[in-house]
Formats: sequence, C-alpha cells, structure tokens
Amino acid sequence: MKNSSKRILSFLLTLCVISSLSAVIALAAVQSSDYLDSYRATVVAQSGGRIVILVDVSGCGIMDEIGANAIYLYESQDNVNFYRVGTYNHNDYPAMMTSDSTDYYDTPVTYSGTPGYYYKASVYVYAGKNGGGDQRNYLTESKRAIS
Amino acid sequence: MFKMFGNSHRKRSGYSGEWSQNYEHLKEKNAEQLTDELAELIEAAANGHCDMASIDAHLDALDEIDPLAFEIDVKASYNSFMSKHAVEMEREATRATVADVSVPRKKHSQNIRRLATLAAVAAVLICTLVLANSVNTSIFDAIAQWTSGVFSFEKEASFATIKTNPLAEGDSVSFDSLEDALNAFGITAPLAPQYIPDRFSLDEVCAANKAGNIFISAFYISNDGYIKLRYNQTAGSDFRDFEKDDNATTLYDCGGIGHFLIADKEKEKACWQNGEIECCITGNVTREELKEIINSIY
Repeated sequence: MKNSSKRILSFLLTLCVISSLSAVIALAAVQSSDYLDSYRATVVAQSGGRIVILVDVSGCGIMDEIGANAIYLYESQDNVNFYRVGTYNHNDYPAMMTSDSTDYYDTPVTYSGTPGYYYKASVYVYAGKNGGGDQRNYLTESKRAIS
Repeated sequence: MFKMFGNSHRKRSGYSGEWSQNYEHLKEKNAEQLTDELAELIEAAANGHCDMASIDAHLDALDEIDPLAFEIDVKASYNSFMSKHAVEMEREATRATVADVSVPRKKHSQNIRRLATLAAVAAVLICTLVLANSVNTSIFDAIAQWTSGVFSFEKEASFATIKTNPLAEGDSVSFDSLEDALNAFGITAPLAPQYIPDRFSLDEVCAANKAGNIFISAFYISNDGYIKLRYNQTAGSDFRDFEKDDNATTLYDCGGIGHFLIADKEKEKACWQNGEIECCITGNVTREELKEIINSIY
C-alpha cells in the first residue's frame, strides 16, 4: 500500500476513534435535569409590527424559581442574516421569572419590530429549587412581523 | 548483400574448423552460383529453416570472389543513423517516460480515492455502532434519535381543535376538573385520561391565554411524586424540548395516534400531537402505569 493511502486511512480511522470517544463523552455529559421537565419558546407576530416572545417552561414539580434567565432577540431583513436587537435579563425584567410554581407560561418581552422583517429569539430557560437549578437554551423559529 | 554477421561471428562460434571442412567446395563456384544458393538459403531461413553457418560461408566465399567496392563500418553507420534521427528518438523516449509515469499515477490516485471512500464509510459505520452501543440501544434506535439528552417532538395528528376561547389575551383561570377545562375551549377530541393511579389526587387545573396561545394544565400529587398533564395550542412550529435520560424513546400506538414514551430517571413521560394540540404527561409512574393512563384516554 502506498504511503499516501496509508496516511489517509490512518487519519480517517483516527478521526473515527476520536469521534466515537467524543460522542461517548458528550453523551456522558448530557444529564436529564432534576429541575426542568420540558420547555419551549415561540415568537408571536402581532399587528403593528409587534413582536411578543412566549416562554413555556415545565418544572419537575413545584419549583422555587421557574422562567427565563435571559432572552436575546434577533432581527433580519432576509431571514438569513440575523442581528441582535434586544437583550433581556430577568434581573431587569422580573416578569421573566415566577416563584413557587410547577410551570411558567407567559409573554415577558414585547418588541416593536418592523413589518416585513424576521425575528427569532434565543431563550435561556431556568428552573431552580433549594439553591440548585438548571438552565437550557431554546432557539425559536423565525417569524415575520406583520403590519 | 552485406555480411549479416562479421568476422566476429565466425570467431565466436568456433565454426572455422567445420566451415573449412563443410564449405570448401564453395571456393569452386562463381559469384552468380553463390548468389543463387544464398538466395535459396535466405528463403529457407524465412520459412523457418535457418542455416546460419551456410549463409555465412556463402557470404565469405562471395567476399573472396567478388569483394564489395567499399568498406562497411556497422558501428559508424548506427551512430550516423542515431544522430540523424536524434530529435525523433528523444521524443519517443519522452513519450515512453510520460506514458510510463502518468498511467501508474492516474491509477494511483484512483486507488487512493477508492481507499478513502471505503475508509470514510467504515469510519461512519464504526462511529454509529459505538454511539449505538454507548446509549445501550439498537443501531436503528440510535439513528432515529437526535441526542440522548433532549427529545423534540415533531409529529402532527389531525383531531383536536380549540373551537371556542373564553379567555381574553393575558388572562388565566382555574377549573375543577380537566374535563371542564377542555369543554370550556370546545375541545371534543379525546384528550383527558379516565384513569389516574389511586395514590395521586388532583391538586390544580388551570388554563391561560398568552399572545393568543392557549395552555391547559392539570396537576396531581401523591406522597412521593406528581403527575402533570399539559395541553398546548401550537402553530406547527417551536415544538417542546423534553429532558430525558439515555434510554431510548419508544413509540406507543393507541387510539390511532402514536405516543412517544420517554424515560427521565425516576419519571416517565409521554407526548403526542392531536390536531392543533400538543399533549404531554409527566409523572412519577411506571411505564406500565403510563400506558394505562394513555389507554384510558381513548
């Protein structure tokens, strides 16, 4: 077998082994949460260019705190290239978090968008109890603002 | 006719003795006779009966009787020919060199490509096998699920719809039972289970209207756990992500609808889509109990 063939085969097999190990490690690192049961978020386009972000979080039983730690809103003219236009933190927007509840279902953020433009949100959902908690990220699909 | 082999042939072969003995009679013949016999010998050689010794002898005899008027230097003639056609010779040599090199190189790169393709396929297969093995599931299950930590639901059915909406946007309300809540929104499709394990008791049923999206929830508690039923109006996008452990997600068919069963440590979860309603059950129940709850819906 020629040297170059050997090198290619060795490289690919090495890649294969590393990928397998990485996959195993990655799987070992992903743990189900003791606080978060399920979650979603969605961007709702309302009349007048209004953009509303709906956050829906289900906790594992009654949580001390449940909601969203942070929300980042992105805007695009072509639905391809997006730019951040809003940053929301629950310390500045208390409506993003509720307490002593099994679920959080609310629209804590509203943005005055431009009709025809596209919007999507990156939401960091959170649930916590007894000093512990978990956070996950959810990226919504883009929605077009309407007039 | 020129001599085909020079004196060196005679000297090398050692025919001198035999030649003297066998071909002495050639000295008595004239040039014409020798030429005729030589022609016959050459014709015989062309037909496969080659007598080199006799041909040489005839040539030598001709040399003695009728020597050539000019000297022949074979080596010099060859050198002269080579120098006259040197360019063409070089071209031929180059063509041969390129042909010799390029064909193997083309074959060589083709071999490398085939080998690389085979190795890539083997690498993908090995990765998939290891991945499947690591999540303790069959290879087909591994291909079917995206990650072991999150399951995202994307299947649609076509039954349940919200026909009325008694809530203004931003409002929320409590109900006495899940059936009351579903009826309030005009949902007639089977969504509420008729069976909940005895150890659980109803804690709360509520509904909310946020940005025109309806959410209904029923919460049951027991001494050591809970069962939560959630019904979300979805627009066919932004489906829910479920936390799950490494166990494989399974599909449970009931009432003509596929229900995805998810394990999450000590909890069992089920999720399915019925019309425009995304439904899910989460609770501290066994897989069998979960199936019984689902069965009681239909």
